[in-house]
Amino acid sequence: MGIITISRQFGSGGDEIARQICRQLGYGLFDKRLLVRTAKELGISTGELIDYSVDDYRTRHLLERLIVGWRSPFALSDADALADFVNDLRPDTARLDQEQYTTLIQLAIQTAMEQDNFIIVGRGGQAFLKDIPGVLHVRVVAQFPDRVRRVQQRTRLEEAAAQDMVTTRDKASAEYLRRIYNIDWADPHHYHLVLNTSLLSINTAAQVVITALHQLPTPNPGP
Amino acid sequence: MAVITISRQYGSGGDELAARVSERLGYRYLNKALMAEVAAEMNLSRGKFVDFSEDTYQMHGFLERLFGASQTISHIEAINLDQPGALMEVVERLDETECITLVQRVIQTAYEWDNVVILGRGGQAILQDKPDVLHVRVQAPLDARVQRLSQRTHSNLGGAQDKAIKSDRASAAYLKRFYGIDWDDPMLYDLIINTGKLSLDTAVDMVTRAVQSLPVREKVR
Repeated sequence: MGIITISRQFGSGGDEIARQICRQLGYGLFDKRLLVRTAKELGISTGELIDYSVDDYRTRHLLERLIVGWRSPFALSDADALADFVNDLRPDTARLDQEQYTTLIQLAIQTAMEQDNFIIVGRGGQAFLKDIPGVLHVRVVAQFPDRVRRVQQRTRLEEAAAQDMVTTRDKASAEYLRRIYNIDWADPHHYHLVLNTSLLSINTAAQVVITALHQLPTPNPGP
Repeated sequence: MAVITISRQYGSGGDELAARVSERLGYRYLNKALMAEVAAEMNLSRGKFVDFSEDTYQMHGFLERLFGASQTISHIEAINLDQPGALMEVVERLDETECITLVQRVIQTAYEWDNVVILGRGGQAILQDKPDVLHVRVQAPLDARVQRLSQRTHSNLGGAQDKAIKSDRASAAYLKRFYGIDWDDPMLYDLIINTGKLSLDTAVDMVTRAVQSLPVREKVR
């Protein structure tokens, strides 16, 4: 049983590393399907569920962001707060706001933690699961030109557009983590290890992560 | 086969990692003794070589650095044979720039030797763009480093903390001054290991694993 969070600069190959580890170790990938399942259990229709994942954060209007009030993310053990939150969510709830979305992610992660070996890419995993035993926090970076090249290969975008995309996405992720969890996502202290895929291949990076995973203790059972 | 540079925060276990990785891989470990040996092989006389690293940098004066003067790092005493055949004692003065140039030449030569682990001394900057060099950074939160230091040296926590802070400051200044880099910049490294969260055993395994992906150098005959 293990959980890996992967925070990645856009275009650094973090998603590929996650997929390779999943294939190799039979881990699940925490993804939108898991969110949808959790949302359904809470009675939220999937039509209302917009994946305000870290990547999509930029789509929010500035004013909208400013008026969303601050609420601390729930602690893992805060069962009452979670119950209150679930009670507040009714089927007629309009679109989830970003704060609710964050809570939904947290709930889904907790659900997943009870049963699975899984990897969560992005979505603030390094902050929400900070200091939880048995959780390995990984950061993947690469030099800017290498990331632009990788995005171009994947999307067939022109160089300038790819550069734009990389810059915008990274800025959005940094902003999300700053606002919701008040951390600097680039600070290596939040992670067990940081890998740079400009030199290291995807395969090697995956093997290094698996090596690190071996020393982790078994996590405590969920609350 | 490759070259590994290791940059470490003081007390993070980077020195031990360097020693253990070189042992595991059968690489040479570029410590003080080997630096002198390389220098000797380069026909720099043994006495003339000064291992001017970040660890010695902290010894030097704040005022000198402030005014930007090139510090005298070492005085070399040598006996020269002058023209008519009489023995003459001379004292040469080596300044910072000369010392740094020597360190750089030694590190370049060690790189050409291949299969070597280089601890500190600006290795991540001197060999920055080499495709067959793995740049590793070892760090840990100050608390964890202070714990490790005071256990290892049987010193009190306060003393260990002062030493760690001073030493990190000197390293940062050394790299900023001679290479214009911020040693904390994560983008300078291929692998950053947090020994506050991972054991040295695991760190050794990770570096060993990472180095396997480096391109093999063409052997020049």
